[in-house]
Amino acid sequence: MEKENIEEERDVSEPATILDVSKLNFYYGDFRALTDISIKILRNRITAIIGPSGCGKSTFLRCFNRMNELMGETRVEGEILLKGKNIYDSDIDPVRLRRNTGMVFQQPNPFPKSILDNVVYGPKMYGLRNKQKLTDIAVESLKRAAIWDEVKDRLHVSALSLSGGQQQRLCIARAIAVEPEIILMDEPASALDPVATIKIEDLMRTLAENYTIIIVTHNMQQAARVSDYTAFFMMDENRSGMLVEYGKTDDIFTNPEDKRTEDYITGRFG
Amino acid sequence: MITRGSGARRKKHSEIIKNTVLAGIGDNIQSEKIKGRIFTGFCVIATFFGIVSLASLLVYVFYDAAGWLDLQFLTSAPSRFAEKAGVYPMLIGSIFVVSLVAVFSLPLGVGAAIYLEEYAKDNFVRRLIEMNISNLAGVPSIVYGLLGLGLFVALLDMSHGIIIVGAFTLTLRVLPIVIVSSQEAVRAVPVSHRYGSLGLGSTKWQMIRSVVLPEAVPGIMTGMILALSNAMGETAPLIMIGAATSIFTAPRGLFSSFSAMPLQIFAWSDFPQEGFRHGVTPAAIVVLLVVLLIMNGIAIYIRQRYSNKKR
Repeated sequence: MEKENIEEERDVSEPATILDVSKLNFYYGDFRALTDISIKILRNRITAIIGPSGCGKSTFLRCFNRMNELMGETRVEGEILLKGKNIYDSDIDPVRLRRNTGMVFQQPNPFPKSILDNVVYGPKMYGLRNKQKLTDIAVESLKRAAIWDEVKDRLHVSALSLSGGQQQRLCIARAIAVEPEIILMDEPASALDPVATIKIEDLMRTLAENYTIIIVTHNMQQAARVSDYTAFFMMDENRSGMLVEYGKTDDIFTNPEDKRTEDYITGRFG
Repeated sequence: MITRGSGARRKKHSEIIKNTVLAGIGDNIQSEKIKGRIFTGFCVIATFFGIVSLASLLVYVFYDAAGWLDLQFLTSAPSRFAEKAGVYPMLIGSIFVVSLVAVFSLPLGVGAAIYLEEYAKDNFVRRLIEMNISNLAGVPSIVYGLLGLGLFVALLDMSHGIIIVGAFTLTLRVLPIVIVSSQEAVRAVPVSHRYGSLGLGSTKWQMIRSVVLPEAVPGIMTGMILALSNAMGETAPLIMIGAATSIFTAPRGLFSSFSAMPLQIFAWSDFPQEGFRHGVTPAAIVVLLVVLLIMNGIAIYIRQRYSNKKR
């Protein structure tokens, strides 16, 4: 019921595609990790990627900000169009792409610096030096990440003194401080306790008003709670990841078209 | 009829283990505890062996040096007479040379470490280089003296026995130490922090500058402590490049002749007079130790300042 209310507040007209993946094949060396993935990610919506372990969900997520390239010899066939431009074109700078695509990792990874220095790390790196502006950005980001009240008195304390859940929200604040259009979350709550998890999920729903969120999760209930659209991935017989089904979360979970989707959702495997 | 469920099966299994496998062994907890205590005792003895040796050396030296260590000693030049002898020119020479070694070896060592760890492909060539560098740390220092003599004095036609040649030679000597410990320190930075930085859209160099290097500072400083302590005590290479064993004026610039404290200590310890052997020699040793202590203190302070940010 609550979900419907939020839908009414948002733009009800057909959402625009922001990321258009077409026939994406991804190789780590000779190993094909992803096979023929085609999917359209919609702007200002939360898209969940679910599936059993090892089916390439995180690899797929990292294709959007080209982080895979930092992990060895990789090859990409196919395209990912960000607002019409293929992010794998030779004239695209991965560094610039990553400034537009924030990432939150499974294990919270704040830098061993102060809370403030963590949040302003991005803007400072882009060349912003004005202390007042940096502080304003930090305050705004910490507020949007729903952690401002907990840290406002100790901005100069080390980020490592925060709890796991707080560290993860700090990492989210750090990611949104650079105003990305897209936020990629790789199992952001799997290392956190249930209370912290709820906070992160609530946070995601408010963030979706301003950002496009893609979340990888192995927690199906979380996907059902949080996301607007769900993509179900599986490994094929060559251990390569493939997209089995993609659609509105409500449809996937109540009336999946593919039997494999139904089996996974009802817990028959995975 | 009693049906055997899995519970019954498990119980029977553990009884089998208890009755056959563990039956003949008996209870060895007591003997293991005794063995543990013996081993711990050995570790304690080993520790104290080192401490007692070092302490007795220090006590012996300080006892002899007492009375000879005064302001006059620190500010005078060497002399034929033990009472008038002083360590001043050598003190300046040592500090001057070791400071230069710090200035040269830090950027060269950290730069090499960053290149090897962050930029070089992990292949056979890189591993060969790394192996050679760590081997170089074990090369006897007199060989570095020969290298310095051949390279700087003979080939590059620099004067022998001057500050800059001494500094270059000792830099070569300690560079492997700095490179190896800096590389370890850089390697120890967790990959999650690197990805965190890159995920935010940093370039590789920005990541190194703002995440990797600050985190590596404690390890780098530890390496510098080791390196500079080594440099401070080096005698053979300086003799090879022509540094004087004794000199009467303190070096004024990069191209001045110089002597260093270990060289003077070595020279004095050979003099037959009591005043030299048991007077100025231990006093000079104390001065050397104190300078080392101050240098290490500075490096430890820098290390603390950077590792405090982790808490």
